Amino acid sequence: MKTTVNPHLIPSYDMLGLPAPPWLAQALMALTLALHWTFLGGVVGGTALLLANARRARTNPDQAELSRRLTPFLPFFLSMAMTLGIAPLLFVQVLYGQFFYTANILLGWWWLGMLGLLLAAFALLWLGWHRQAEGRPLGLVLPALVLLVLAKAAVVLSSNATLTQSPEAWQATWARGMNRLFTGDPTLVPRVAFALTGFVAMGGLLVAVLAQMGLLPKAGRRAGASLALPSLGLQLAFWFWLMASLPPAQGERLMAARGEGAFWWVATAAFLAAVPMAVLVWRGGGLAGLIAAAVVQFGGLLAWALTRDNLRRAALEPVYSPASVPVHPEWSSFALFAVVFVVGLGVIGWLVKQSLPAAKA
Amino acid sequence: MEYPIFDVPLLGGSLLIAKVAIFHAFIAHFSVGSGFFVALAERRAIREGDEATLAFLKKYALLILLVPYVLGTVTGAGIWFTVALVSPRAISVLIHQFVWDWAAEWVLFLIEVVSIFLYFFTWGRVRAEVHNRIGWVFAVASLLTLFIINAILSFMLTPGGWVPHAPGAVWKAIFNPSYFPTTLIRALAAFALAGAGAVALAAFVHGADARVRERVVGLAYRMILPAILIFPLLGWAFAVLPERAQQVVLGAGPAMLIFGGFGAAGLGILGLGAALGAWRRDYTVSSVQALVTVLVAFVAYGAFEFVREGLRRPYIIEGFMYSTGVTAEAAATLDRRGNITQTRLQGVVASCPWALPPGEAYAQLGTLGQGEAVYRAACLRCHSVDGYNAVRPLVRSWSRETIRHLLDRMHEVKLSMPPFPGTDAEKEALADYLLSLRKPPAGSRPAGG
Repeated sequence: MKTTVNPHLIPSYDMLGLPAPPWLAQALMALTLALHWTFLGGVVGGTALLLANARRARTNPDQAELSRRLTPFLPFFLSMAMTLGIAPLLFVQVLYGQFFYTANILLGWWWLGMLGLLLAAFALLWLGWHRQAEGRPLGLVLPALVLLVLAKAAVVLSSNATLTQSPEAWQATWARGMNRLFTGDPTLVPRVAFALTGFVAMGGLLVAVLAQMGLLPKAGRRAGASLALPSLGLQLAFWFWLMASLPPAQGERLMAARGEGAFWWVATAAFLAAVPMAVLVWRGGGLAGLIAAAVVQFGGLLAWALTRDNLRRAALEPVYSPASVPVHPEWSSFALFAVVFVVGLGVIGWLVKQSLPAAKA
Repeated sequence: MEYPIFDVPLLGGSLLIAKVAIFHAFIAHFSVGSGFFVALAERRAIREGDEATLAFLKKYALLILLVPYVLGTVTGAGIWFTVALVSPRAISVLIHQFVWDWAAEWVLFLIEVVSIFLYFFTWGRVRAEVHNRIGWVFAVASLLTLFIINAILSFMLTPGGWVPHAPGAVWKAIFNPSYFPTTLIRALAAFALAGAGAVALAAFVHGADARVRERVVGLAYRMILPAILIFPLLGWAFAVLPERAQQVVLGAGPAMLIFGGFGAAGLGILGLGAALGAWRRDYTVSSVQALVTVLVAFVAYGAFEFVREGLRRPYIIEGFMYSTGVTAEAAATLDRRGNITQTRLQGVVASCPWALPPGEAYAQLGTLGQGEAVYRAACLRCHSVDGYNAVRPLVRSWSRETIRHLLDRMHEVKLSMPPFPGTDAEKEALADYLLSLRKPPAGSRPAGG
């Protein structure tokens, strides 16, 4: 694969400049991305639990009840994940639009096909919900299909993310023919493996928290923790694999213990800490311990989102830096967003408060 | 322009956008209206202690609330994805101008997701009044998203006094000349579409008694009726259109006139049908009536959306960016690479290196290869060779002189065409390439696979 950048192929940054200082867009992108991953974790982890539970649910009424009550949560988690995923996509276009769009177009129908994968995942989850509502067992095939569809979506997204930050590969990718997934990045497989195990771990912890809160049967607590524990171990292993697969210069930059490199250390510390915390949770402990483990895992994902952006900037540095783009902030418009955000959080809080008693019943 | 070219065989990129956009808008408007329909119907049923209607609403909430909502969410992302593939420069400008408005809309999306799922899951499990309030939260949040997204849509057709980077540019962009009439039109259309859907629901579902069906149809008619107000609002919207677009509506674009006629006829039939039913207090509907109602609503709505998309041509953003992605003279100081003043001097292919076959230079290509590169840079987004808006059937009977003459004056001959953005040499090469299309299709070789 050709490794030099053809500068003519790189579009110019948007003619309007940046509508906000880069740090603000980067912070919001990372925060919303971590929230997106959390709910994606709910879908992936929850579905993995349904799959793992499928056999036991046939003979064990507690496990059957857990599957029955967990199933309706999954379309909600997927809807939340999709909606939360809009915001980081928005900010990645603000900061790196010219690279992101080029990668989108080179992937072509694969990128558009993401929507088909999401619709398929929704349809399958609804089918599962319908089966459970009718008292029929879920079986192995349906959750396995959901996981396959979501894993494919993860590959497409990671392919897009790696191509976005690899302009040196555009010429060769183009010559090979458009509408193909980009698999030439050595970090692609560890990225997907790390992401999927991280999601399963997050999902396991979420299920355990929901069970501890009384929103799922008590069996969910043990089942969730049992899923989270090995997944966190695998996540840690894949984390180091991912770091080892990075080009040496980028790896060194990430691990620099000062400035933005601190995010890598925070992420590593969080992923390391999550494992013993999960062991304690698995052996017993209350809601506080569970929430603490979930928060640490969320912190790790948030630090990874920031590290990931750091990595992207390092990869693009020879040709582009958001810091070099003129900033034309629209603060009055931002203020409107901030007000809507605060009011929106209040409304969501009210909605959840009103519904909690019913959900526990 | 500047970006790789997403080639959509047969359909063409612009028709793909139009299809996804119209389908999404239809579903999304239906979803907004349905939120109000269900919340209104539930409130009335609670007040009157009408358990049968409540049971009916509960049974079909999945069908009329949740499914359209999820389809709307996915197809909404679909528009974004499609426009980014076909017209990346346009979506980039819109995102950079409206990022915080989109972010505010995203907060409303979150409220929608939480409220609609809770509404669905808590039915019969929380106090009826509380449940109804959750429904109203969904309905209002949905309507507010429509208010925001229409700011961006109407801006594209009537940017008005918007000047990039000027103080208050974003507010001028939001409250552009057509914002208020089109927002009202969209709100009324959303209610009418939900009404039409409710008529179909009442006609086709099993297990509901006649009284419940009549109540549903009665409310549906009352949601359709205000759509008659769309006619004067269309007059208001017409009055603030750019002169070029007004001429298209008045007959310079026959296709737009025909589609506009379909829209007006459909709207009239829908409104009159509902008015007649409400006046006669006849709330029984047959399955044929229901099918016709939904079909007419879809045709009317789709036709108006098609006209709106069509009126924008030759621009994506009126007066600022052409449908080719080349910016107009007004953006000369902003656009460093794809402004028409540059492309006319340096060539449109110079700004669009992805129009060339991979790894090849323009000068290395023969005349036909150069012409094909110009076609890919300047024409392909709207014109496929053999599919929708195809150029081959157009040029079949044309001489080279006719083609060359049209390239000089196409924006004058047809209002929906932009001016040719390249150099005279590129015009000659394009004319040769278009002339070569008069032969059978075996010869064309797509660049970039």
